[in-house]
Amino acid sequence: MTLKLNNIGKSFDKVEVLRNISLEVEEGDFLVLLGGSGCGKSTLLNCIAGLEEVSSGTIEIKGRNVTMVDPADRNVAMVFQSYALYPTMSVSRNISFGLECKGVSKVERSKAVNRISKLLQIEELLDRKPSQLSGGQRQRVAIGRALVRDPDIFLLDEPMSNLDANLRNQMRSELRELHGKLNRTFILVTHDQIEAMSMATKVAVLDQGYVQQFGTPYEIYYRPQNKFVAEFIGLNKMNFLEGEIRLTSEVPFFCKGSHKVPLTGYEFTENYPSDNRPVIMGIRPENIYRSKDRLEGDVFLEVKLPVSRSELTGGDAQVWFDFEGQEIASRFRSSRTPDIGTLTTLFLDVRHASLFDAKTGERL
Amino acid sequence: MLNSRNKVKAALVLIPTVIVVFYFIWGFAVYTAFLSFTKSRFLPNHEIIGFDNYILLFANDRWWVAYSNMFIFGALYIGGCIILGALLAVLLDRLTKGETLFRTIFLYPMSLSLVVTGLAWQWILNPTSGIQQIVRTAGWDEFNFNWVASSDFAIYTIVFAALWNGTGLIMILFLAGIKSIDDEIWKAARIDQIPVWRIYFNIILPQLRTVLLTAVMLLGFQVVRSFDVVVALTNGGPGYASDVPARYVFEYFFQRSKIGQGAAAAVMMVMTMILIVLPYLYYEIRRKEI
Amino acid sequence: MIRRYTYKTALLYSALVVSALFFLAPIYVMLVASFKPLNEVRETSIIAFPQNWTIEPWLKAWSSACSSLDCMGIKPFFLATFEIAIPAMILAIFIGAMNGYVMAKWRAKWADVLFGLLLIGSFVPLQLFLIPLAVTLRELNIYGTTTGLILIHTIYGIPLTTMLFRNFYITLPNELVQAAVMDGAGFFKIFFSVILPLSPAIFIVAVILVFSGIYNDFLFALTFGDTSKRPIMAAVQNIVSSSYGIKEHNMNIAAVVIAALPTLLLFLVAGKFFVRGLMQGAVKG
Repeated sequence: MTLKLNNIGKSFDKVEVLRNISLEVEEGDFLVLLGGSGCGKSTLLNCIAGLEEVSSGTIEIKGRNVTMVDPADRNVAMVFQSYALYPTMSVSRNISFGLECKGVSKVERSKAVNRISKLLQIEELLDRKPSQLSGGQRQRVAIGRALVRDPDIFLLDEPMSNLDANLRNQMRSELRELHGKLNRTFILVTHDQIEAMSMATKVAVLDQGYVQQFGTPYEIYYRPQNKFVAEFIGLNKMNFLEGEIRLTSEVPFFCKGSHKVPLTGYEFTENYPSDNRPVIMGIRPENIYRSKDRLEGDVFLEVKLPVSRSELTGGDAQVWFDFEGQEIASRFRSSRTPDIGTLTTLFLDVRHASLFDAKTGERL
Repeated sequence: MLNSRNKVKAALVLIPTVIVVFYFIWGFAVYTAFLSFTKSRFLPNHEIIGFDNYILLFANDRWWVAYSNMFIFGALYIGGCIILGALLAVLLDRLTKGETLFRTIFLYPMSLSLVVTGLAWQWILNPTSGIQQIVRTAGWDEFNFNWVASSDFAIYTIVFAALWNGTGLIMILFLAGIKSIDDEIWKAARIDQIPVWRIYFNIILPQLRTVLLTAVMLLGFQVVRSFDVVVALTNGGPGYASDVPARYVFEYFFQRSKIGQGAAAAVMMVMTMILIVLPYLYYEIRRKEI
Repeated sequence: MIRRYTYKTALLYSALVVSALFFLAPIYVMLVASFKPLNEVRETSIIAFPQNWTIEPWLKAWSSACSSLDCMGIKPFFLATFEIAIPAMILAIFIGAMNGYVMAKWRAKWADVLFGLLLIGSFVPLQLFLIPLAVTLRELNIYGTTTGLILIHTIYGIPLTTMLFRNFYITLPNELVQAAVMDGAGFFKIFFSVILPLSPAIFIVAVILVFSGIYNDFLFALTFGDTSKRPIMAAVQNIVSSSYGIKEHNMNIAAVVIAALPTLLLFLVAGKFFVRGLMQGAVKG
């Protein structure tokens, strides 16, 4: 186990920024700390790095308790959001500065710099100063500076927020490739879920200082642990339908107004609901179909709803329907968008739905 | 990051400054204030005599001349620096060419010490060879400009010299403020056909309120401390007609050997400075509340 | 249309030229006087150009002008001032830079309090320090010595340098220091390898301000300067005001000009840094 966080708590003065964070990261994992602004993800990264001292809890790296250990002695390396390259030093000195501080000989240092610059393809840049580099080049130097120390964990703080969209795509695949090549543990902080879903082996979704869910991208997407995660993840926001659980028959039913659907095959967690419990059913737009053939199973809810509004986004369109006062969204081909007010038959695929307690938001 | 090792190093670095702040600045200030209540004469004496020094001070006509001089000088100096500085800043802002040259000309006096300034103006205002003489030889026989030697006007000569020295800084402050104002405001005003001088007067200058207040406060502090220029130009003369508190303190400390009274005068200087700061603080607090 | 602009620009330039004359007059008058022989100084107007140019006033001012003690010219005082200003400046800047580094990059509540006290303390009139300083210097046996003045100017230069460097270092990104910490750089290594190389601009501003402050000082020079080696402002004031017999105005003026030269030259050469520094600082308020 490369990293173990036990009940980490962190407060600044009276403000609690991190609460009860416990995570385990294996060797070679690519962990993404995902969340909106102010959720505490950068603070958590700084705590792992040792740049901030935790208020409570312990941190173990490769079995060693490093909670009170200096950053330089934790064998971790960090790539900062602004890259933080030393402006007055050449690229090659920027990369080897850490080794210089350790007292490594000049010969060894230049060997290391050569090795790293070859790996990252920045050999021609070695004599330049950071101000003479482009954004993408600077990022590579920053990565090189982290790589050269051969750390147990690579920490990356929103490394791509300063890049334009094209560069971002390129960097994403390069980082993935790098991770594959080195097979070391990466921990990356971001607010961008595409980055999270495309690069991570494990995702920790953070909000208000808590870990809302810790799991693989698949788990996060298909089995969100609570309403927050369900709402946060997904390019097209999940729809939430308010209703109740009826346990009168052998199979529990989800009831909304006059509609009801059996929940056969739904994998409940240990939070089994009680009768008449108000619940929220979450169903993604891509699981709402216009024809029965698209359904993957035979558990579905069929409704006839009027169109309330629609929005064209290129080839697709997002169409909203009025379901007993609530709006739900679905995606259609733009060419086949029905007009406002049209009653349309929809099939809601309950197999891929998620149930949440209406009060706590926890998954049922 | 501020672990115990670094805390120690940080503390070590700051030790000299701690000594400076607590002993050499605040310690000394409090000590002098304490001395103002003692019987100190040629040497510090720790025997307390209550407010006697202050009573003597307030009964001394010399002190009131010096103290009122400070306000006369202060009002004219501050007002003059602000008006002249603002005007010059506006003029410089309108320039397309030659700004650096004029800026250097207006600023260089600031690099000269107030002693040099005082001595230079003493030369110019010298009745027998200075301005008075020039104008007289040009024809106006009766022209009188011997302010340096006049009890009533000596203090105003100090204003000239100080203005000459201090305007440059104020001008730079205003110039920086003017240049920091958004270009868009200019464009908007021009489109509205507002004449240039009005733009400066009604739009730009009001926005420089903070600069103005900072300038007034800084100038105010300079006024209270004015020692060099007074000694160099008139040495408080004729007699004590152009004396100022800063010089008064020095004289009582070292020439009259009445440390206690000098200390009382020094405390009055500080009190005056606090009075100057109060409106500024009040303004700041009100601004934050809004 | 063109006429109007020319009229306005003419007005603008004439106002500026008149102001410029006001600002240039004193130095012109002094220079002119310093190159005139004594009889011409006494007989011609102060704005008249010299008819018999001579540099004798300058030579006399330098080596034989009389102060209240003896006639050694301004030279010994000129040199003494540098003996005091240079070490004090170096010390004050070095201490201020380290202070600024600690206060800006290693935030600690007590350091902020210290800075606040320093800031307010820098407004206290120097007159309040004179007596206790005299007592302290006497105790340390350095009253009236060069060392004493170096100590004084270092001490009272620290508030200024600390403010300059702290305000400058605050503008440097904290991530730089964090990266260096991750790299394993120690407290002082970070200062010397990362922070200091970024500081040339503020160093120049500091040198200009601190040197000018010390060189132009009068109060401490007068109070704590030994009469045979006092700093220049006290010396030149003394020379000009000592009237033994005939007052040699041209020599006195030359002495004043000599005294004015170092800071004036410093300003003319490096002034733009100073101005830039002021403009930045002023906008921040």
